[in-house]
Amino acid sequence: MSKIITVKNLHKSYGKKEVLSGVSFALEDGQIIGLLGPNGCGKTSLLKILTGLIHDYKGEVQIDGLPIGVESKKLVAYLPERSYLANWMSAKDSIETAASLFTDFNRDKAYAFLKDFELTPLMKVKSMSKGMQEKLLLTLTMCREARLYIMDEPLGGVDPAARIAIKQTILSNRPKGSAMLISTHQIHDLEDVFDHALMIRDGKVIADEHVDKIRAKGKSLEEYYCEKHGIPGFVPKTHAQQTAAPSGDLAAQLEALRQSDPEAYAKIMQSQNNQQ
Amino acid sequence: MFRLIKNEIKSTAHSMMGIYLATIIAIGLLVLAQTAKIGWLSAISFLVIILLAFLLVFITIMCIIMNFSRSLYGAEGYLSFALPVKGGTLLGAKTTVSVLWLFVSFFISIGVFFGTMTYVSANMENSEELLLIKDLVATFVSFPNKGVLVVTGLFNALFLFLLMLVLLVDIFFAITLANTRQFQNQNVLWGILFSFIFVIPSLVLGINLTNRAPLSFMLTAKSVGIISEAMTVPKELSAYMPQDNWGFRLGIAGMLFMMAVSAGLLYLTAFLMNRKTNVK
Repeated sequence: MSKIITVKNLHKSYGKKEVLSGVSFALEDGQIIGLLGPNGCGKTSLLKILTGLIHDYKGEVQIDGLPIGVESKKLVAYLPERSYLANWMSAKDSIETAASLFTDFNRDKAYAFLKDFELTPLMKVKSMSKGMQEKLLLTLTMCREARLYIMDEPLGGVDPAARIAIKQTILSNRPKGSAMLISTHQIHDLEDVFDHALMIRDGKVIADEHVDKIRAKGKSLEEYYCEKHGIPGFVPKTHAQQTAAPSGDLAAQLEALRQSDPEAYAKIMQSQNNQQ
Repeated sequence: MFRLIKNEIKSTAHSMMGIYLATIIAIGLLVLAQTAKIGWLSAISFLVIILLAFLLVFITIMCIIMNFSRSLYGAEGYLSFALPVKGGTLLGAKTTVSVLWLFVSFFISIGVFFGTMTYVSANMENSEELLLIKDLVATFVSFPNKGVLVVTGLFNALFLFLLMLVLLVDIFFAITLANTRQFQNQNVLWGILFSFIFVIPSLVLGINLTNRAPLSFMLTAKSVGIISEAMTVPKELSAYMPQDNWGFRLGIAGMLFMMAVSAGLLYLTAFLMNRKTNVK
């Protein structure tokens, strides 16, 4: 399988502080890759380098064999950690802007997303909650026919119902054969989604493994993460716990939501049916 | 490029329209007050219009600077720099639209100022303002022929365009340099400092070269050409006026200097955008 991302000996510093220190890895195409690590470990800097937002770094970075530049950016749809939408814009304005700037943007799909997310086209960005803005940004990202989707903390700062809706949208709208690189420190919520895990700590890669291999060792991804990061208080699960569905399992999360908030659950299921 | 320009116009129009709308409202109030003969409203709206006419270009420059900074190095930079275009293309679109707004504001400012003065003076017989406007019109009428008038207008428009371009490109370069790693922590402070460092020498040199360097464009009713003499004008204001009956003369060394500075700084800004800047 070809490599969608290749990084060799990457260094990035802010003043005297080195946030990425000789990072090297190569990720296979067509996978959902979890970029995992605590806050401040260099995840966002790495994603910014991949998307062309940071230019002063040392090392070699390629996307699908292309150096970071105009051609590599054509392949990438990026969901940043913070909103890039101007406050005066409406949801419709932002969709039309994306449609005019990206040739692979699907306008009709975007309006269908808005409907599913219960966002009205004329709603202004400044009147949207954090969760609503996140859904709009997700719409703008997922309605592109990209080769690689890069998402920085897509579930950060949103309520559980919105988290499930976002997760559902990511999974059910990913074009066939495309790859995803999702940065998060909320492993619990996305554990069942990842095919591959790339763990970073203090600017260095500490794990680069297929999730199946981790599970074959009898560990969940969250447990493996805790082990790798030496998080105190980590208690290995019992065999029964290990063989049960992973804690981040989407079905389990949906069931929990159904019991706690039936209305939100019904909306998500309706949205899923519409998207399918 | 066309798509970027279209999008840039759309996103900047939002802030620019506010200023133009304020001017239109003030004009409307003045007309209303004059018609209804409401003295106090007439005086206030007249003052607001004159103030807006003077401040319009300044406010436009401030809006352009804020838009440039926010759309590239603020939160909106996450979209701008992720677009599959080169830094130079992005910069070209922003510069084109910025110059366009500056031109629009400049002409609205001139138009509003003279229009308002004429309108108000029309109600006062032999007012000083009216005589001044009549003198100004008479000056333009005294041009040797229509062709000279048109070429003079175009040449002055080019001079004005270059002044605006140099001003903007200097500021764009200053903001971009302030957003490279070394200066990024205090980018606003460095941006302002760099703006003064680059803008003042560029404009002073450009204007002085225009007035004093022995290279001028001369146009008369019978001939047109470049001469190796300075513009020889007593005051800078005269650069915009015909000097005597034989035609019009404008120093071009300053214009060539401003073209070179603009091209050089645009190149350097694009280089920094492609290689050295970080979006926070």
